[in-house]
Amino acid sequence: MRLFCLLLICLCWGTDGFSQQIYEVKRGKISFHSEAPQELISAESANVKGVVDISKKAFAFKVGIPTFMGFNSPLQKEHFNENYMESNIFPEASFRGKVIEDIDYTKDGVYTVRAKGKLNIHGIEKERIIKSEITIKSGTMKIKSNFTVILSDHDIKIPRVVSEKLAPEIQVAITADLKPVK
Amino acid sequence: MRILLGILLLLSLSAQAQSPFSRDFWVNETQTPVNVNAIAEAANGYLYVGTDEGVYRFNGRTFSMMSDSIKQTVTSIAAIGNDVYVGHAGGYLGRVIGEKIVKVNAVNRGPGTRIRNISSRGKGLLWLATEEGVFLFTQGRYYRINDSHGLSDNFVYEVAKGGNNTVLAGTDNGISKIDFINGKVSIKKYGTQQGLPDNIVNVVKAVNYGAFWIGTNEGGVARLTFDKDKLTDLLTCKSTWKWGQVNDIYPISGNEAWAVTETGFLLHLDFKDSVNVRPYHFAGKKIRKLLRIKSGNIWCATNEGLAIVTVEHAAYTIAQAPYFFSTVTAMVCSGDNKLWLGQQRELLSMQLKRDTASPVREAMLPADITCMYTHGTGGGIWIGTFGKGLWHYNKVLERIEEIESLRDGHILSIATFKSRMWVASLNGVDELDINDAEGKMFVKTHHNKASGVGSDYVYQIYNDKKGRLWFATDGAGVTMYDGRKYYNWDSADGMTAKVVYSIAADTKGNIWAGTPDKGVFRYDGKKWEQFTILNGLQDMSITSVATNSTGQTLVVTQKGIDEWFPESHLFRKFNKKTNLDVESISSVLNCVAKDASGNMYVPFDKGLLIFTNLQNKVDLRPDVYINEVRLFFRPLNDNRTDFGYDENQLTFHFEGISYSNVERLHYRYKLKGYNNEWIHTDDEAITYSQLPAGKFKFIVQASLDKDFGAVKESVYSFSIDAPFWKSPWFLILAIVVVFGLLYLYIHFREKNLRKVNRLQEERMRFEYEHLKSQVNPHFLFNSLNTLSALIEEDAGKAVDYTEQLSDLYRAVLSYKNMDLIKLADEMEIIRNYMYIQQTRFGQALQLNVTIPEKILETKKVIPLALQILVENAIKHNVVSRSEPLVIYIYADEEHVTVKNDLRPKITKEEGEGLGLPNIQRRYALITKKQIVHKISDNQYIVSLPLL
Repeated sequence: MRLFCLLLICLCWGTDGFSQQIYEVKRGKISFHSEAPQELISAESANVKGVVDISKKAFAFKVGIPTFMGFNSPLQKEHFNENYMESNIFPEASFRGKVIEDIDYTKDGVYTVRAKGKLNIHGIEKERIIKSEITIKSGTMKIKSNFTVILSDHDIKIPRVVSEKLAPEIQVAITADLKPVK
Repeated sequence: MRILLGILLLLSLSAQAQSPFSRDFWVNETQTPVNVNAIAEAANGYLYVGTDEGVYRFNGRTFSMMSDSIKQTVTSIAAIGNDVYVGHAGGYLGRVIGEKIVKVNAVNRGPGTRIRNISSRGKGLLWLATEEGVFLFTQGRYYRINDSHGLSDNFVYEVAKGGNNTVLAGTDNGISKIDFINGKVSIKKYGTQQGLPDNIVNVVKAVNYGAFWIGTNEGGVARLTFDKDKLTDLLTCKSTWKWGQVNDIYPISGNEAWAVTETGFLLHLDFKDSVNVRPYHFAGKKIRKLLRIKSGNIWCATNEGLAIVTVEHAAYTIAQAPYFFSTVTAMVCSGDNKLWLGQQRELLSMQLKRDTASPVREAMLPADITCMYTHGTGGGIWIGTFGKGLWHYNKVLERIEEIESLRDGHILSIATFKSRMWVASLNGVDELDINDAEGKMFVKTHHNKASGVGSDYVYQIYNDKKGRLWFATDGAGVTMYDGRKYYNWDSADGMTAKVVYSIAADTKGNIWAGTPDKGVFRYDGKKWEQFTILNGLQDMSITSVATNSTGQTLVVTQKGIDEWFPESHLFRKFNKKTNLDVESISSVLNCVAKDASGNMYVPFDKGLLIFTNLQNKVDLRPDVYINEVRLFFRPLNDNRTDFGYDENQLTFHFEGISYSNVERLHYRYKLKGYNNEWIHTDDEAITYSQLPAGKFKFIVQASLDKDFGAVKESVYSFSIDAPFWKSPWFLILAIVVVFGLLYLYIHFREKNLRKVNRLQEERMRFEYEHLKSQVNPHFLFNSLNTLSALIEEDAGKAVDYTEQLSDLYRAVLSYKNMDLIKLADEMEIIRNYMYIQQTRFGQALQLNVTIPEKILETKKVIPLALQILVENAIKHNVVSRSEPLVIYIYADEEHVTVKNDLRPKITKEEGEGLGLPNIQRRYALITKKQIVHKISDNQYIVSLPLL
């Protein structure tokens, strides 16, 4: 997480004076859902922080794990935080890296890009290429992306007794509105 | 050693007509999936498999985990020359040394991120693709090239060597062409703007003439070349690509390659005329890496382990219901790539190049089809039946016509030869004219046992395209007809079979004959050579032989199929245990087909087996490798080959490596210089004990069968030193020493002898002189005068005197022969002598003896030496009553000394004295100790050494 903060600082500091190059998340939502045979679980968090540096084609996003809400029961939320995500040890999930495609951020439109970087969940980093949709509209940026997280990739262990209730692959969706840093 | 625990056969019923055979291998012993990231075939034949758990070494039968001091996920492996390099997730570079992976040391910092790929450019120069740029490693030093040098992106997937000074790096932002111009790095970038299908370039592979294949994340594969810095000849297939991210490419040529993808596809890419992709899908797998090894198999490294794919040489087609090819009785391929099948009475056809393998019924025959024949693309299909004669199928009219002249015949085989159709049936061979209309074909000539065929039963007729017609007969073995006369062979020519079922000619013109119980025979134009189980055949009962266009011969038996590879001199086996999921193969004789290009088709229980021509060189021979040499059962730590004379028990551990036939390997070995006979074994170790000294060469060879015709070998040369006592220098030294000692011995003996002689001589002279002196008339006269005086004065004393005199003479006589006498004995003589002299001189002569008792008994002197000294003292000095002569004799540990006052006589006594020189000479012969004589204080002193 420290790295992430450092990156944030670096990104802000490094492009001081070109502030219109840096976009910051003003409003974001990240949700996941697990479709297991016996139970559907979904939760979401509005606590999304992130920046995109269009001059360097770099980005960084993070979300606090305990901020996820909307579980089927408080117990489920407790299990989520304590048993699976161990949010006391790994309080955040992050994705940082670079945008592969070159797009014209000054021109309004909808672009599909690949965001390549390190996805850190449960303290385990995975190299991922995640497809995202970027909408540019009058100086603001809207990011929308859906991807899958394989729990075993991030060393998240599912107890045998709940294997019917928790899918091994979790669907994640993120939407974020970004505005240039003034 | 980890044991290959499980195999899993994949027979995915995919949409393709042809599927390769594949087999999965569990890499670890727990039979759990292991993510394989890298795979390489080393020069010694081993496969090195880089996984999340470390490196496994595979010999075709067992995987063994290698000890790795770096202990990280292995992300890349490269076999470069004889070296194998291993890249790790943490950026460490290792190298395989013996059974271990050892970290490669460097003087400066190497990569700190995953080494994704290792390649070589020239000797001792490695290229590492990492997430922080390209690293060059040479002579223990890393050089980094990154975006500050102009690299398109620091995330580099692969580096490939192009021309002499060019390498190509695939990155997240296109490819970078790195050139070295006068020692300076020059980088040119290429991306989608230059026409690449995608900017994420995961794979870069060079073809030896300067072309490159690239594989991308979304845009599929592309082939490109450079004209200086200009991208030329770029071929892409992005628009039609539907197989996912390309993970690896194996280039066959600039136009042909294999590729594997993240979504489980193995793809054959043919870019010759147009982009042509032939996909094979392995559902549920992610294929990470691809390797074609020299035995012609393709290995896929997957997220679960390894898979071997037979795609290059064998494939199969599943028969679509309701057809089951196990009941096919005859097959033939027509020139238009159509396969014709006789399934009992049904004539079926199917397109070979079509995506689906669904046969179409063409006609029904009145009896079971036994054989089929077609020539050229145009003509129809000739069909032989069992009991209902010969028929012709007209493809245009889609109609069968009977050849009336052979009505109700039992047809076994059909061939054409010099415009004639030869038809074998149960009563010989009939010759028809193919130019006649089908309905008017009459028998021109009838051949049978009487006319020379050798037998009335002919199972197969084969035209070898060299103007010879071959007959597989029942009773006469093989018969050949060259247009004029018949030839036959017997056991003198090597042909021991009387019954031959099947016959075919290979590309070299060799004739192959399959027999029901004696395996196959090969005729090279001179002799027949037999191939049996000992040569690797699975069964001696052969139903069919067939040949393709690239030199291979297929031998079909009930137990499986063996394909002969002449360059490797061995059979590749196909059966349920090895590669194919073949439950049973048709037992019908000569039920094989060959298409226009030479690929061979054999029916099996599930469909058709396809044995293709080989496009690439294949070496099936097993490798053999001496892994370890042990001395007295302990591993040799150093790689020495020179042993001491007592290091004479050596154990050689060796291992055969074969990926073609995973059953047991056979070995033979010999120790040249010790025993020049080959010794056959199935063991993988041999111990030699009590080896003599000498130079030796341990040679071991491995074979799939008992035939060691063209095998590979591994050699370990060593020497055992001769023991030092057998070495030439030692022998020379020993001879020198022996001769030296002999010389010295002789020398000293000679010297001794001379000395003894001289002693003897001296003694004799002394004796003579002494006796002469003792019988000196003066002494005798004086003694006798004294005696006579005594007789008158004192008769008793006279007797005493006489006794003393005789004692003296006896002593002189008895001691004269001795070299040394005890001092006590000498003193006895002195006393006798002094008695005689004192009797004469009375008080004028006095003797003063002070010798310790111990010295008297232990020390020795030369006999009569003291006596002579005393005698001389008396002789040379005045002895008178007024001046008595006192002779002192005293001794210490070293010397006995005679001392007297010096009062020389004026007149010398007559006669030669024996004197000091005699004593000195005698002493000199015995000892080095010196006699000391001196005159001091008017005293005459002589000291004799005591011995």
